[in-house]
Order: sequence, then structure tokens, then C-alpha cells
Amino acid sequence: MSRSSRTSARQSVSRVFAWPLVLAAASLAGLILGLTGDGVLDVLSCLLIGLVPISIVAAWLRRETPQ
Amino acid sequence: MPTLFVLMLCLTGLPLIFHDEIEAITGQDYEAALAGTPSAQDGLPLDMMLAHAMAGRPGEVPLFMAFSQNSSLLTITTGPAPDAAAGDMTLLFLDRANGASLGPAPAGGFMEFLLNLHTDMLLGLPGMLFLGVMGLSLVLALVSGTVLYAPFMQRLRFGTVRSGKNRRAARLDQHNFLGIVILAWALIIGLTGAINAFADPLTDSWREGEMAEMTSAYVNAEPLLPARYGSLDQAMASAQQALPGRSPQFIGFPGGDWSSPHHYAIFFQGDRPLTRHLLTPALVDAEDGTLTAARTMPALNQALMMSKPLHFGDYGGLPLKLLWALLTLVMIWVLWTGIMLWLGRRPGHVERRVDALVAGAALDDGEPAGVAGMTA
Repeated sequence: MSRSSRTSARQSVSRVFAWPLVLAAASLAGLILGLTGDGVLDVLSCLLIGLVPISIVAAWLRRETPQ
Repeated sequence: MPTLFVLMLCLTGLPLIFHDEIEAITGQDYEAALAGTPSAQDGLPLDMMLAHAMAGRPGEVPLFMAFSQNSSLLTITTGPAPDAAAGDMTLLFLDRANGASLGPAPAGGFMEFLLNLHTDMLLGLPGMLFLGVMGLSLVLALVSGTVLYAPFMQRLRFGTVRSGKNRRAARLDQHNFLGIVILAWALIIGLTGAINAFADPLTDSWREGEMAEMTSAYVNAEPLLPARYGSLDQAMASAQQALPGRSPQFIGFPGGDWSSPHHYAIFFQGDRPLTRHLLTPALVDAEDGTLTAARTMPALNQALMMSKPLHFGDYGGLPLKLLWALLTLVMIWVLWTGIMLWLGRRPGHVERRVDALVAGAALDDGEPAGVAGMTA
């Protein structure tokens, strides 16, 4: 495996959870926004929840393959 | 093992996300076929629709009448007695625009079977409560998995998914990464699913508490016999006077789970998008058509009503349903990798040791994140 996935020092807990928190907040906002209205809010809701599959695709594209 | 039940819930829930679309393809979707004024707004008199439906069901009594917000479809549920069990009920479809009877709803079918598996595994209330507990165990597993995520990821960047010869490391990374990104959505699904599982007891407690209080003047009255049921149109008019501008969703007839033995309970939707899922009942004396009381439901029942759309993902059109399906597939993979990791976990297993070293994990108990809570 390449070195890129490992960090030289231990990350703090807040750093480990930084991205997960962003995604969780976006999903929750999306889930609730969709309930509060139609039209634009539905689109916004899908975009926010859509960040989750987008992050999965991004991680898949950057996955490490054995050399 | 709760994981297996949650896996079953995911697999049965996946097609259920698209039940509207599937029913449209198989020709059971009257909503799309009937254009015209929504039955919740206007159409032929309700008394006429009811008489028409009951003429075809001799010896039976009406139990529910439900309105559509999008089409002229009106449904009437009948049964042998006011307190008939769900299995003895018949659901009739009618067109409120022209009074045409569209016949009883097709019983059975694969989607209905899936729905039954998903809600109670065909075991009635005990099955429902059991699956509710499974939903709560999913929530616990998500919490414990999140706690374990930190030590596992201390030396790995977010989004690291190793692949290659070490299958265990690959599975662990997939489990951790996919689990953490769907966390918020999965928590909501688990919690709302669990709340939905307690729907029947919550309805019972509303009927025996709040509603009994609203109709306390009738506590000594004899249950009203179907022959003495008065005009529905008059009852609707009284209710709409109390709750102007609201659209009715359904009427619970006297003696059923959703009303008192003496009242038509007319349930109205809220008039804004956020309150559309919240129902307010107006209780109307079924004999003389006068309003007894109209009051919002208790907080727990409101939570139940809000949890339905959040669980079904049916409030944002097809794009949201597709996202729901995608996230369900991810959830299935998280559960599957969790099971695989749990099965491959042996004390002192060499691969696991190497794994821990490679990952730089601080903990060496080897418990994969998320599995701990599910196997307890």
C-alpha cells in the first residue's frame, strides 16, 4: 500500500470526525429540508443527501490498489 | 443475531421504496388513472358514495373512508363489525367524480407480502414490536460503531479504502467508511422504523387517553348502531367549520381503532408542507352531525406521523427515492461486511494482528466497528 493513506502522526478525535460530521449535518439538513417544502427545497434536500453517494464515489476513485 | 433481521429489513424495504411505481406498472395505481377534482376537495355527496359502496356489501358496516389529495379516488373500508380485525376488512375503490365503483382492492400480491414481512414478519403485533426492537438495536450498533471508528481511523485518512491481498483490511475499511458516511441517514431510518413499529400501541393510547377525554360526555352512552349513523356530509361540514381550509384525509367510523363508539373521527391534514403529515382529528357525533371536539394529537402520536415520511423517503419525488435505494444498498453492504468481519474474528488470528499493525490501530481487540453492538 502507498503511504498516502497513513498519517505520520495520530489524528485528534475532532480531526477523525471532521468529514463524518460534515456529511452527517448535510444529510440531516437534507432530510428535514425536504419535509418543509416542495420544489426548490426538494432539490436542495436531494443535493445535500446526495453528498453521501458522491463521497463514496470519490473514495472509490481514490482507493489504493496494490502496485 | 439482530444483524440478520436488519439485513432482512433492508432487503424487503428496498423494493417497498418504489411501491407506487411498481403498482403503476402492474396496473393497480388508480391514483394516476383518475384525473379530476381530488376527492378530498369535492365531488359527489359522501352519503351517496357510502350508500353506493355498502349496497354491494350486504351485512357489513363501514369502517373507514379515505380521500385522495391528487385524484378523485375515494376508498371505503368495510367489515363484518365496527371492531373488525384487519384481516376481515375489504377495501373498496370508488370514483368520487362520477360515483363509479372500481371494485375491491386486489388482495395479496408480492408487494403486500413484502410489506407484511417488513412490518411484522406475518406475526401481528408481537412481530411488529420485535422488529421495532431490532430497529433500536441498529441504532445501538451505529452508536457503538461510531465510538470504535475513532481508534481505527487515528492513523488513516478519511475515505481510505485499502484493497488488494488483505481482504480483511479491505472489508474493515469498507465497513468503517461506508458506515460512517451513511450514519445520519441510517440513524434516522432505524429510529423512525422503531417508532413506526409502535404505531398500534400509540394509536390505542391516543384513543384511550386524549380521545376518551374529548368525548367524556359520551362515556355512558351505548355504542351507536350502524343503522343510526347520520349524514357524513353534515358531519364533514361541521368539522370543516371548526378546521377551516384543511383537507380531510380519512374518516374513522364509530367503534373502530380510530374513533369512539359514538363518533365519526374526521382526520385533517395540516395546510403547510411541514404540517401536511400531521393529522388533526375532529370528532363529530355520528348520530346528529354536531361537532364534539377538534384537537391536535399528543406529541408522541405527532412524532409517529412525522416518522412515516422520514422512514419511507416518499416526500421528495423520484430523486429522493433513488437516493433512499442507493443508501439502502450501502447499508446492506455495511451489514454484510460487518457479518464477514465478525465471522472471521478469532483470538490471535495472524491476519488480524497484521491488520492492526498496518492500520496502526490503538486497540487490538480486533472488534470491527459496528459489529459489537449487533452481536451483544
